[in-house]
Amino acid sequence: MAAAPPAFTGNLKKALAGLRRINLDGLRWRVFDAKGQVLGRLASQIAVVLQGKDKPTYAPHVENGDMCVVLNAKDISVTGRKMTDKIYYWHTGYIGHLKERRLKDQMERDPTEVIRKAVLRMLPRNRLRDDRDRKLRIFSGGEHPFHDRPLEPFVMPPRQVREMRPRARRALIRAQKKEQANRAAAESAKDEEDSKTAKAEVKV
Amino acid sequence: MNKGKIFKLAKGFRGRAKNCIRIARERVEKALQYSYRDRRNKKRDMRSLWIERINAGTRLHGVNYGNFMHGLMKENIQLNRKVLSELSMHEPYSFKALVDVSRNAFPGNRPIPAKEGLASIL
Repeated sequence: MAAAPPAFTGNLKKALAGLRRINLDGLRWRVFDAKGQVLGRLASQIAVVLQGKDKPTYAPHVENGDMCVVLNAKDISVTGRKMTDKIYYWHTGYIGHLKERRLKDQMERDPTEVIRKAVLRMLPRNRLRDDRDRKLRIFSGGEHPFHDRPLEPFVMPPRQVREMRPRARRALIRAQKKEQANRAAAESAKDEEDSKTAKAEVKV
Repeated sequence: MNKGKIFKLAKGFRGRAKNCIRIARERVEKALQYSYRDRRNKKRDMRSLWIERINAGTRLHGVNYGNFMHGLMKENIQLNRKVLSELSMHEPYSFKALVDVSRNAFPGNRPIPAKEGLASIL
């Protein structure tokens, strides 16, 4: 059974941490694929599932959310210039020590933290928040060690993508045309080289 | 006499508030004020909990709370939110029938999604 899904590389201890503390009977294991999803929109869906708000048996004092497994965290996308311009700030407590880190650097260090921060900041700040954090497992690649559990893929609800603003759309068309021109130039350069080498072979 | 009554009401309070009359009197007054206010708040909180549950139940069938209620009002079904939330928790088949009635009366603008879990059996 372990031959069909690939073996899980990475921190197995971290992935299985605290599983014993969670009361797992009756909970579903929902799998979210973050590939190509927008960060905030995915995080809000995860937060809703994690709180158990999609079940009619929701009660605010009882923790009844499903286990959420997020795959492909390194392929998460953000719109606009957030990749370079979104900055995470935190204050260490010492005076003057306001630290900052850009989204780009955070993705290089640990892409799972990006999604974890986004989801955690969307959960209500109460005593159940830590338990909900324990139910959330994020993996930066596509492999996970939970193949023996009953997994259910989560289908994202259909989204109405906003039409591009005229300036951005013109920039996109320009970029596409430029890429086409580059590709055509590269192909023609390659054809010339091939014909030159063919002539050289023929001569020899 | 008054002190006795106050200490009786102050059972379970933290620290000196259950033992010393001066502090207990203040805390008991506050507790009675809170309980007066919260007898009214409880009705609001329970209704919002019922609405959350109905919302979750209808979204399993592809309809959101607003459209569902509008459809029920159109069909003049006068079940209140308390009963609807109980149905959504314990009587899934009846609840699905209600959701279908509402959807026929007022078709919302969302396509029906692919069902998973319990909803796929219904």
